[in-house]
Amino acid sequence: MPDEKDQESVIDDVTALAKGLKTTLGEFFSPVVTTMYPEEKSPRAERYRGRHYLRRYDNGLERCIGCELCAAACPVGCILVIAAENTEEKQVSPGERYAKTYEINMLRCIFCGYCEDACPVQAIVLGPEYEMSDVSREKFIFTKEKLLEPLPPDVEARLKSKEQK
Amino acid sequence: MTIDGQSVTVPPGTLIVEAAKNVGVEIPVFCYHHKLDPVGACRLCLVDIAPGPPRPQTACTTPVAPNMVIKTQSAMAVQARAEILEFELVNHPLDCPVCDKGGECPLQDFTFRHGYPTSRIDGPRLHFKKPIPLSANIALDRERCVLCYRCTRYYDEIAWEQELTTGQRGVQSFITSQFDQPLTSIFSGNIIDLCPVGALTSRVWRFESRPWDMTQTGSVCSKCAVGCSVTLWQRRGQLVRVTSRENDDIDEGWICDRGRFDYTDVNDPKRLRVPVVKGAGSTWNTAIDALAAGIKGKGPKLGISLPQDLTNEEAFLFRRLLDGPLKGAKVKMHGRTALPEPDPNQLLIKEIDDARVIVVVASDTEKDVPVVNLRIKKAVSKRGAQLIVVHPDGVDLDRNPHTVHVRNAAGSAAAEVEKLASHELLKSPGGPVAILFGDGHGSEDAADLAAACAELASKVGGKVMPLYRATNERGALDAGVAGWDKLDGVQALLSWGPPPTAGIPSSVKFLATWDHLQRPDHSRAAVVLPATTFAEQQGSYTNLEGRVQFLRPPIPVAEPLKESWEVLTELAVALGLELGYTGIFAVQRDAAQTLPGLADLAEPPSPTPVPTPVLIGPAHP
Amino acid sequence: MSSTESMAGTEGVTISRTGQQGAFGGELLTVNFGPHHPSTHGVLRLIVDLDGEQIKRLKPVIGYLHTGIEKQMEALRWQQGVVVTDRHDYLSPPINNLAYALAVERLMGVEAPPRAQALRVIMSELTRLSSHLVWLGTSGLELGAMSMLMYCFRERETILDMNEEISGFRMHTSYIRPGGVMADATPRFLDMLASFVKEMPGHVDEYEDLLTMNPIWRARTIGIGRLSPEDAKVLGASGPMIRGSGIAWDLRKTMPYSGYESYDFEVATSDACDCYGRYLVRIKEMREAVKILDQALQRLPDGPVNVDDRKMLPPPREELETSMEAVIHHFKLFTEGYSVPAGDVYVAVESGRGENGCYIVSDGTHKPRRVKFRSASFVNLQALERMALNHMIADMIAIIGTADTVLGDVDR
Repeated sequence: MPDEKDQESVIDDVTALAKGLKTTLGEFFSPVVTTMYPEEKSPRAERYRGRHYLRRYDNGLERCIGCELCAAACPVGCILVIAAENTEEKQVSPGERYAKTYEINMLRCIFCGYCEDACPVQAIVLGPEYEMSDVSREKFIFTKEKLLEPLPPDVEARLKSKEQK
Repeated sequence: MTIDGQSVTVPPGTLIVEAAKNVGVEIPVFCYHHKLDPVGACRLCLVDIAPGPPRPQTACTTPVAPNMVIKTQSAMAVQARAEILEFELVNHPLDCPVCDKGGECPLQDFTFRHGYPTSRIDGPRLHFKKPIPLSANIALDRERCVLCYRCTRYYDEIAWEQELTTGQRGVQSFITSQFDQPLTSIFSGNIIDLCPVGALTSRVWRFESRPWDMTQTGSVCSKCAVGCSVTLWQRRGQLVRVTSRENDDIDEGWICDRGRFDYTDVNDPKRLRVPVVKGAGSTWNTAIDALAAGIKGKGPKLGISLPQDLTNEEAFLFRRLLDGPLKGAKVKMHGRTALPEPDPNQLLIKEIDDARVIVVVASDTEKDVPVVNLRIKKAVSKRGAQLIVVHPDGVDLDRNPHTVHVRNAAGSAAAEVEKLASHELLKSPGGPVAILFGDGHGSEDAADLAAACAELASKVGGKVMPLYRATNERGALDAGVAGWDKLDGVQALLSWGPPPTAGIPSSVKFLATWDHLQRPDHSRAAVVLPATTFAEQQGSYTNLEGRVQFLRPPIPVAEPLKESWEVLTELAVALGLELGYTGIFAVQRDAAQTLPGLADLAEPPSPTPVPTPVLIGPAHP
Repeated sequence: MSSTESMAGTEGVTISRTGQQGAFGGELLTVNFGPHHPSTHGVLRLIVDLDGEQIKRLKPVIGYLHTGIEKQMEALRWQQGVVVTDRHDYLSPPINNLAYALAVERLMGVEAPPRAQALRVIMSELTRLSSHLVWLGTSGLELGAMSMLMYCFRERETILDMNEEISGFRMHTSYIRPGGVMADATPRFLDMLASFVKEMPGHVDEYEDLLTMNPIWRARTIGIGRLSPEDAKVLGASGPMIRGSGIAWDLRKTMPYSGYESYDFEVATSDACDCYGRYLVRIKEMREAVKILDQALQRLPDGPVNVDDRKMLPPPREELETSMEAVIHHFKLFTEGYSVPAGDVYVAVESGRGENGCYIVSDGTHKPRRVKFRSASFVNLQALERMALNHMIADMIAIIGTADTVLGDVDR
């Protein structure tokens, strides 16, 4: 009897293997799901939390007023803001106060987006970029000049239309 | 009486707000301040009091009564306070993000804890021009003002000044300086601490930092001999702010503008940081050797100018140098008075409160000892003390119309004091008499005056207080280094701190300086040692009443700077005296054993500051 | 170890001789396995005494991925702590968020609104699926079924895309926060979810085609890593570990939260008590998760996704331009944060690995006094020796695999 049983189980095994092979063979003919990164990139969602930007108003003034709420909201303390007073000769942002220094330590940042939530004037936003690798630590301290680079136009347009609502 | 179900026993006459503090119940207040008279202007302290009319009543003006039952959390009281806050916010500008008060603002805290979360009012807000500079140091923002009148009441009650007042009436009221002139009082900075909103802010600290960026350290002011308690605020290794720290024994929470705003030299980018020998940067070893070579064995041909804020530890170490290798050197301490060593049973600052008659001789206390001046004003205006001033010129205390001002000829103060014993106010003073005397900036014979004052004190039953001016004059006297020598004719000069007031004598051939800034007078120095400041060094000061108080540095001593005890110890070695101290505590222990006046150094308190508790409670309603 | 003499092993493995005589006439060897070994699912180090190839003693050494997360929580305000919870069990961030959020909410006496609860269930089940998919893919790979990894990660990618759509981040979502969720689901998310729910059962069939009857898979899992129901209970195992031993213990049923009681699903169990049983449980759970997702999607209620408490959650952005109250509350909430009444609370949720508990002590201030995570991985790891005893060293890979520990969760 054991022989017969063994035979049965061998048949079962072969069936199971064949079934598995059928699956893999089926996959062989199904469309490819992978993308050829970095030549090809998948689109990012609207809410994606990538690298930070500091925005400007249409008249060129910085939105940031140096209130440091982003720095306070940051769970990892990667934002440094030092504020200063606007003068008539040097009006950097609307109102009395502007950020003299604005630095983000991107090595420490965890991209939680709390700074964006905390900003009362929507000056700091997290854009769609995620490729930020570099070769020196110093380059990861994003200074105000770097952060003030304009957002990708489609993102800026989307934020503007949201504000108008 | 009972507050929110907790029973509490307080002396009669205590206000409900104060009684509530005893049991840890928060009653929000804007206009009430425990050092000012209650006024009941803001109505934020409304509570439910039984027995009484079924209406919310102000806790800041109502004294407690036996068996009173107070509810701060009854629906009526909670609603009343929330609605008052809603009114306060009707015209408040949307400034939190740019306001310097943000984060330590009672208006924010109370709105968060006691106010409504949403606004029912949607109208245009009142606008004023802003910010208005009230003085070089203070900015006024009228839009943010909640009209609690703390600032004007402070000016009125505490500082006896008329510079700040209210313009217009009713809803259009605003705070303004008299005739729009800038504030000149040296006590003006206290209104920044008093302001419960961001209406009065410091222009020196403007936008420097947020409260959560800074660490605070409770230290002692180094600007004069009063030794007020201050809080030093540090951010990123810089001293960014100085505020008062309430110490009822000395300052009662007030400091003068010199102590509050005169700190920016600590952060000066031109601070000296490396020793310089003959105009070139050098190492500490070379510089100290060069200094030792220049001053060694000069005897009386060596002059040494000491800073006024010499710490007790430095004074002690310096004393050891004077006893040893530098024996015979001429020493001149900056800004010191000619007053002799004090009577051990001298008057304490807090005892001025209880004095019935206060005699101030040969000193304009506002300039010499600013915060003692405020204490005298308090005793006069709040405790009804009588005031006698002996001074050739008009002084600040003359603002009280009842001040008896004896205008003596300069140099005759001692004689006038002797005559005072028969003054009608002093015949039966009805309580303790406080006698404060200065040296008239050199116009009086200090020894005679001290003797006359002591005699007067024994006659009328009072105590005396010599009004020293230099920060640590008492400590230097105790250590025996508070020199008063003329520096003329010396060949070598060690100028420690700012240059001597009389200038650097022309006879000087070797000049060494030890200071934190490069001063113009020091340009021909052969050796320049960089010094630490009060914000960096450890040590202690003895204030004018003999109280030893410890500095607590908020900023670490950054290399290559060295602490002064270390420099002095190394200098001693270079001069051939082995002191063998390995740390400041060893210096303090030795000083406490050697010099009776510095016995308090034996037990320096823990250098970690006591954290200030942040009052955080549940949010209502 | 009586001898320090070492023999060279493969990478991540060092061997020392013990000098003791084994049952097969050879010498017992102490083998150090890991922590940097690809099959330990992270940085788990095992010290194994071997008699020949048989495991005689097995001692896990942990701590190589200690991140001090619990201590960090004490320095962060209540709402900031969410981002840290993401990072201990890094394969199921939303479930970690949920345990923390529920604990904070229970202390504060608030409850998330129905739509938020449904979204929480959706995110939890998606997370469970993605966690099981990682497990299935890597375990398959380790036991020779290479293609499993490709297929599982293909579906996991879809889930991560959904995470990105709803929260802006693929792994560390910080989506579930005390008081509700980060933001409402976008219409695109719901579309993606609907098509996912439609396709996923077919994919699970594929996995079963490849593994369930596969003789190699069965040979490597059936009878391997036996954990009796009694042992499972004594050792505090939870999740698929205890259900694979035949005990129907699922916190979603036994202590329902977030409205799980209103969903129709079965608790997957298996009486096999071995690696194969745990495999079956996880496969069944994947099917049940899809069922729950389908129900949640069908009856997703309308309404707000956050509690209506301005003392806890910041005001809407547009009010910042008109209302002083809003400005103040916004400012205070982002600088000081809300305070949680004093007290302590323990809340546990069912993660892909078992009981994921969060114990919080509040002293009434704006920061937690203590936060402790009862991680399923850590407790399940204790059953490792019991399961691996007297098995071949090669079977240890299957056993570690089906214990499904995440080392970040073990060490925290």
